[in-house]
Amino acid sequence: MNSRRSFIKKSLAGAALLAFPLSGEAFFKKESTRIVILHTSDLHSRIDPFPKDHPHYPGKGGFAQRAAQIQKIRKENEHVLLFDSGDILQGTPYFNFYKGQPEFELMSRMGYDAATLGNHEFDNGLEALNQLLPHATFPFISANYHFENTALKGKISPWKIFQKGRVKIGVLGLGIDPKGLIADSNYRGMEWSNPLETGETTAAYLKQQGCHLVVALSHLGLQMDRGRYDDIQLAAHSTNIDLILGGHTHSFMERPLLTQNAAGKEIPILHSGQHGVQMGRLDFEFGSKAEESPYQLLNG
Amino acid sequence: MKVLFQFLLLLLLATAACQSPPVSHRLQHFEIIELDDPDLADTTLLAYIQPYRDSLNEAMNEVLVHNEERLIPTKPESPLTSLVADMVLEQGMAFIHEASLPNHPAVALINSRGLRSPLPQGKVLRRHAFEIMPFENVLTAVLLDGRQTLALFDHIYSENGDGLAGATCDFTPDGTQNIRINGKALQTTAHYWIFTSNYLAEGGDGYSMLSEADTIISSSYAIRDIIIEKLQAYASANKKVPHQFSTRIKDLR
Repeated sequence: MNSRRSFIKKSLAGAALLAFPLSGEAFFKKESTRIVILHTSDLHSRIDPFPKDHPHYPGKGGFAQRAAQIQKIRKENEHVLLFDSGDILQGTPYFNFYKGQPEFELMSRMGYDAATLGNHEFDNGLEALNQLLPHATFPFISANYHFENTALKGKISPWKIFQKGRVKIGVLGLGIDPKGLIADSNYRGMEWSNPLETGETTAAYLKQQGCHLVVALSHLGLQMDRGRYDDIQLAAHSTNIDLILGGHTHSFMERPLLTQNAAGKEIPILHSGQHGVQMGRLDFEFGSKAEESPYQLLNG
Repeated sequence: MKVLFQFLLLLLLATAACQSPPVSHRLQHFEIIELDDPDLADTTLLAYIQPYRDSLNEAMNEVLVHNEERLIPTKPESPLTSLVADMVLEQGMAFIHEASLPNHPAVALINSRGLRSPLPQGKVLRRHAFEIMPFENVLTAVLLDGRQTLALFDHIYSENGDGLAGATCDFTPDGTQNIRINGKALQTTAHYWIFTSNYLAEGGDGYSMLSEADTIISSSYAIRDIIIEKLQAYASANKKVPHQFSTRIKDLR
């Protein structure tokens, strides 16, 4: 445990230097493309901001405040992608009373591009989730939850490709082992597969499809015990995932955690806290400018 | 010769173009955006939220009871876990009676992590009951034999305690000892009712011995409703919400 901690610290110390060579098109030589990736996780139905006298998060969060920030960033940037790593639901009476409809509708209005399923998305069972899905105009993606034998058959995609200018971003979703975490009756018929293997296979496929960046939306947790897979293991096992946007452990970070993948390259893992009190932002630049000074992180 | 060379050069360039030269991507900027100014909110979304908030507030601001001391949920046990376990034990006994199920000594078990917020001092609102118990879990009765009950107490130890009622035990450096149910030492030949949430009854938090039981009976009582009704009952009987509880888990580690 201690050695893992010191490893994380070392990785953080190295966070200033980042570069990721990729195969791509010749026209990238001429101009670069900037993609802004925004990330939330573990929103837990915190539609309203915390009260101003809250001991930990006074006045923080709230869907309308986040929407204003997102809108501002969209005005300033041509290519923005907005993702959530799950556990949108459960945690305030909004969910108990309205069963998730306002959360999904508000996130649709904010223009979320995709989300993955957290364990709390199953809190009212698969049929309730099935009824709720039409209220989201964005897709829920999960590569290792398999719904063929359930009402959700065909409604959850394993991955999605986003074309932003000349850049193709592949996004896949990964969910935590539901056993012992979600009541059996709430996911009956759903199959779960190993996220490390499924994640890497899916990422390799997305690279074959010409994706310049493969993002894993994970609800595995940053660092887990009791034999559960986590984001650090996912990174260490993969060669084709370029970025992990994680959730479940409600982890707050000051900067992305850089960790070595199976090929010895450093890839960033970002967790964006909980309850929407923060939003993570990562700006990637693709193309010639990046090649000129690949080992410099300009700001942040 | 010159023509041939030019041809070869062209061929080489064409092949190189087809192979797609490498393109870099670089993390150029990162930012953790603190969302700490609620006055900077999107007005369209605020207008959408308003009617939901209004009807919710009306329901949630109902006062259930006045409470003299803040009760918190911690491990291995705490006033709030004991209070809720006591409530669940009482409701569980009523359920067994209503459902004409056989009588056995009974234990209530509530996972501390499932209680998400303290019971505040002063006015306790319906909202607080939802914050304490946000999940839609229902009271579930599980019948365990003596050996399964031993395994249950071993797991309570490995969980560093959970809310208990109807039973006491000691946490020693060697594990759980001196388990007493209804004041009597646990007997491996006896059977015991465990009243808990459907979440634990289905093996949640590692309580697999519950999910492996032959008899698991779900009630229609939501744990949160049990908390709300028992708190209201204190108010209508002009009784105080208890804040001192007998020790269930004696920590000798």
